[in-house]
Amino acid sequence: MKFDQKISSLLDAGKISYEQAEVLRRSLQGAGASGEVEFHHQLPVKIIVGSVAAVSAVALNWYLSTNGGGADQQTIQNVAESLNQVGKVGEMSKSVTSLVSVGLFGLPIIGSLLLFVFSYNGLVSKEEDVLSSWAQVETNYQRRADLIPNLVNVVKAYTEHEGATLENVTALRERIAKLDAQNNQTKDMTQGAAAKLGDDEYMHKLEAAQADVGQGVRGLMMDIENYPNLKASDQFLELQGQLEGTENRIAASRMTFNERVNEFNGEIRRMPGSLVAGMGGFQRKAYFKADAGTEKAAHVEFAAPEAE
Amino acid sequence: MKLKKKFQISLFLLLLSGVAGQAYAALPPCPDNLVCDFTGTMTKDQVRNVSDYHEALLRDYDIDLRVIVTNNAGDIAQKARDIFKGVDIGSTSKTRKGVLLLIDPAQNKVRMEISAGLDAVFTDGFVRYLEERQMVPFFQAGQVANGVMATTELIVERTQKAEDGEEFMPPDQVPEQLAIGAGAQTSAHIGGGYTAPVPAQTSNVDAKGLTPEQVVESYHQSLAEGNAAANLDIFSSATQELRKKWVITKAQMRTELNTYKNCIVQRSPADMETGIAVVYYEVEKRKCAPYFLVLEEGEWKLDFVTMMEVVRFNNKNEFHFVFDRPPPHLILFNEWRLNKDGYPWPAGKQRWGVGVADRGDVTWVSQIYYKTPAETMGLKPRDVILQWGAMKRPSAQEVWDAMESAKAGAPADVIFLRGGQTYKMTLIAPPQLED
Repeated sequence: MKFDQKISSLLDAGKISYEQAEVLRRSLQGAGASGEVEFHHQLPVKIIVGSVAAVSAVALNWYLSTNGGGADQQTIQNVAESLNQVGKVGEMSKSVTSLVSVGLFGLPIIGSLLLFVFSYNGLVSKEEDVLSSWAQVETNYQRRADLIPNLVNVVKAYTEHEGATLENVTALRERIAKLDAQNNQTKDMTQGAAAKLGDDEYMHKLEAAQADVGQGVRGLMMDIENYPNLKASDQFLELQGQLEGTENRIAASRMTFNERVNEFNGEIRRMPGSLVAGMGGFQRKAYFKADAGTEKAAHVEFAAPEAE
Repeated sequence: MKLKKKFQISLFLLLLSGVAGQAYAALPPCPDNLVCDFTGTMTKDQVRNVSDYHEALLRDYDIDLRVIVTNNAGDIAQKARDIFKGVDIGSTSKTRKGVLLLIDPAQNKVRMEISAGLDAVFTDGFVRYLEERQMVPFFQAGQVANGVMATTELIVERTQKAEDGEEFMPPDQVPEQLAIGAGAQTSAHIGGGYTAPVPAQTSNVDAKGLTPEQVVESYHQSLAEGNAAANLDIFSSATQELRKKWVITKAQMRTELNTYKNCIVQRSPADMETGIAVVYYEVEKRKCAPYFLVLEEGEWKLDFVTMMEVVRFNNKNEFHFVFDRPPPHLILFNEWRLNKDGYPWPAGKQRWGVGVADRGDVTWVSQIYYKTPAETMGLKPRDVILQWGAMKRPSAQEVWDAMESAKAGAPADVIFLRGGQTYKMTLIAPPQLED
């Protein structure tokens, strides 16, 4: 199904909120230029059902034709024959025997059918969980991206007001400009991510970019510690609260996202998920965390502070 | 089994129960799971008070607010989320509104975690403001329980506004997962030392020549400036002493100022004889508590001491009067009647305008209502009625009935006691009230 339908179905099921739906829609639309984003059809299941049904129908037919159903062979049953036949006492009638054989033959087929169906549904559900938890992560990054211009403006206004008396004003202004630019770049990267949840490299790059933005914000906040007049204002206090709150929400939603990815990836590795995954085209999702090799040294002189 | 083995087993069990008993005894009481103090920072009474207040919050505003005080909770943000999920905070609220206040004295941290959906009203920025400007100053003064209650007051305040403006998310849109990391945290500074905030620039506050209403305005001006100094000239000396002991936060000053922005002064009557005055507001605005003033050396000063004794606020921040013996100021509120719980209501149109009360066999004039015929009759509050017409030592009900049944213009001879002297007066019954 197309991503629009997918998002609508998630919304109807109550798995995502309106806000998150908007975020996903925008995100996946952006990826539309590089190719249609499709979600898995029911088709593989139909193929499974069809083929199994066909095979069992053929097998059943062959079995019945070779062993007979009793009534086909003899239209009139010889009463004398069936009564008190030596050696035939205790035997089940032929029709019941065939039925039991068919049942024993068919049960595993039906059973594996059902298993496939449940497994498929489970995978779909887990994939939806991955998508909805990503929507939450993206929403939180969006929130931070929207707050950063506020922070930039507040500091800019302050430096313009007090410019002459501030030390390192140029360094501060540079830092602000850099953060602004980083923020805008990373916004675009984030918006394309929902279509690239299986792309390890993309997710690592995104994580690194967002971590840089986070460092930039923390660095700026540390600088502001030196300006008690700015720090003491109620307006700044609320902004600081919002920024720190957003960092916390990002951390919480990332953890949830990685948990969902873990569940999904585990499911497609195990049986029978791996069979269904192969047939249905489910692909492994990437974790959203820093790659061990690409972790950068903090390029601010002080350690990331504890939330004050 | 052998006696020795039996003995060993029972000894083991005894030890086990002893250990378990010790551990159980070490946990402080946790009434109804609303407030749990595992560090002994608050006394049992304080815990109960806070718990009662939060129960009322759940009942009146459907907010499940829990408080946990524990030492060394590790990553407080993670811990708050874990507790939120583990204890299912928000489940006792029908609209799934949950708040967790986690205080970690050992790590000097406090965090308030807000449930998903509610975070649109209690934004991260607002929670941070609540913590820094209301809670922490109390914590600095070593008053943890008061700090929690004061913060809950502001939560109630914000909730009332949100309900009026229909800001809350409808319950069916509230997400399943309530713990999303919303809220804020800060350093707790418990016992760190509190000083009243006084800004660098303050206007000169001098009570000389000011009317009671002007004194109140001057006080509001000091609120606007964030000036919590105890020794301003507009306070009576007793009030100044009282204020020195108080924790006054910037948030409280701002809240009080904002409350009174919407209050319209009704009147500011004074009684020069007893040297008291009040400034009171339109009674419909139940959050606008009146100010009491006292004459000190010819200047009107705010009398918070009397206010503290006489005025109380309920869970909804609405004021009412409580008193064992009516304070003299009560006669100044002569446009109000008080119901049995001390809540004021407009007195409404009255034929005579004389309020009577009795206790034992003494009947007295309790009130001469504003803009009524009684104002010109010559009776005053506290006059003891010795005789009304033919009735000697009438009860309040008898006086009331006599007033009601008198025909317009009919005279009534009244003998009363005032200041130790007996007076006699003839009162003319005013015309009946038109319906």
